[in-house]
Amino acid sequence: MITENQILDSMRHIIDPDLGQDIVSLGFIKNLTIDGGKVSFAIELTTPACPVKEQFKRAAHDAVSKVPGITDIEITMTAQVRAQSASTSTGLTGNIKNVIAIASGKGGVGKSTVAANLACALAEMGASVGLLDADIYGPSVPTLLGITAPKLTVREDKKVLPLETYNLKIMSMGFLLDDNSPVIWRGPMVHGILQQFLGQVVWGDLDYLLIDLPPGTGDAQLTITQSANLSGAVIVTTPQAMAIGIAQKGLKMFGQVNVPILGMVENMSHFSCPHCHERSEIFRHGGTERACEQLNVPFLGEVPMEGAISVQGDEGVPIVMSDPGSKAATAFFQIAGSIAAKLSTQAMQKPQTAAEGLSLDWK
Amino acid sequence: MQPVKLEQNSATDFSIHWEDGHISKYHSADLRRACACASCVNEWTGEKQLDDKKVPEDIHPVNIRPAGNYALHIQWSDGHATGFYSFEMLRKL
Repeated sequence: MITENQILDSMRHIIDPDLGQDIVSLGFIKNLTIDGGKVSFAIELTTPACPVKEQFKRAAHDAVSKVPGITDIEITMTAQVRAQSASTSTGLTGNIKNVIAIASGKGGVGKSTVAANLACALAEMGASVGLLDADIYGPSVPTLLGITAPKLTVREDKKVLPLETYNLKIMSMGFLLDDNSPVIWRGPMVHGILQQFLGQVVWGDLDYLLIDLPPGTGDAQLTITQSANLSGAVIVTTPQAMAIGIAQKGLKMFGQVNVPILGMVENMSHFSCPHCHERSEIFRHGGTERACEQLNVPFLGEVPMEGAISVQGDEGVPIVMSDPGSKAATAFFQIAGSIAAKLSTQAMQKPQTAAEGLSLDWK
Repeated sequence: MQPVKLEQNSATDFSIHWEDGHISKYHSADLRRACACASCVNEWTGEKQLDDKKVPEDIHPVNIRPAGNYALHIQWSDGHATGFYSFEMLRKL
């Protein structure tokens, strides 16, 4: 007779590298059934975008197959994303487990391209993902995802439903502003329009909502950090010393408003030639990684410059979708996986403060 | 340091329970007078614009809401609603 304990004990040496505990103690093993020599169970991870998903499955299979008497093993991989944000306090409408800001110090570093590709990568890995383009000055997500003539559904209560494409829920300031809208905004107007925008979109259930912020550290960023309960921020930069220097200002801003930095991404890291596949370091190599070490923030990875990223972006197909095997897409998948893993770790270590406790209506 | 709970103590006072178990008590009028928003404190010079005497002693919040991860937003009974009180400042007061 094979017992449940025998099966569980056989897997106690499999450690989740991010959470630092074994998968049995973490309660990842679900629906364990034993029928003679046949064993089946599910491994429930904290994110479908887990970078070590396949390793877990293989390790579990190997471990269980060593239990005497086993003839058949069936393992299902599932995921239940842990919540960081109590939905009532996110300032957003919907049951959103993690809100991630994608920020940059300066413009032109490819922040929106990174945001769109990371969102697609997370969705491809099985998570439910939303992408909010909050760049009021130059919303570019519609172009990057090929949404040319958005038809928005506005409900009777004035709430707006996001559009859906590439398995993502998408909302952009670009959908609401026509070409004749003013591009010059004073601080209070920025605050007002963003707050209204944030509150109006009905997201439904999401594992991850990525917010593409406008570049810099001004009114727009401040409003979002005040109105939405951010689980973390990702800073996108290019390798030039100046870009990295400005990115550090973004880090400081998030520090001041208590938003954890999930890490920095180096975009346009080097040029990967499509003909000879040689790598040219157009900018000095390794700047972002060194800056991360100095500032003690995680380095999430580097995305090479590939002509296809920009061409596909202009055509509205993120490279993660059009060429998932490319170096750039592989980098995006890897970065998306590390972000998801960092959020899982954070959610396990620091249970959310019930936002209800911090609301008070005077009697 | 993060707050975990707010509690109304009287018609004018409330307290914050912090994650380390510490409890801070606040008298509303004092807190309103300490408002650091742009209309109460000059953003360039740091000079206080608010006249303390004009804050009624019986002032109280209408409601308090969390602002992001770092502050509380208090809507006051005198209509003033632009002040954010960072956790850091609240803990120091």
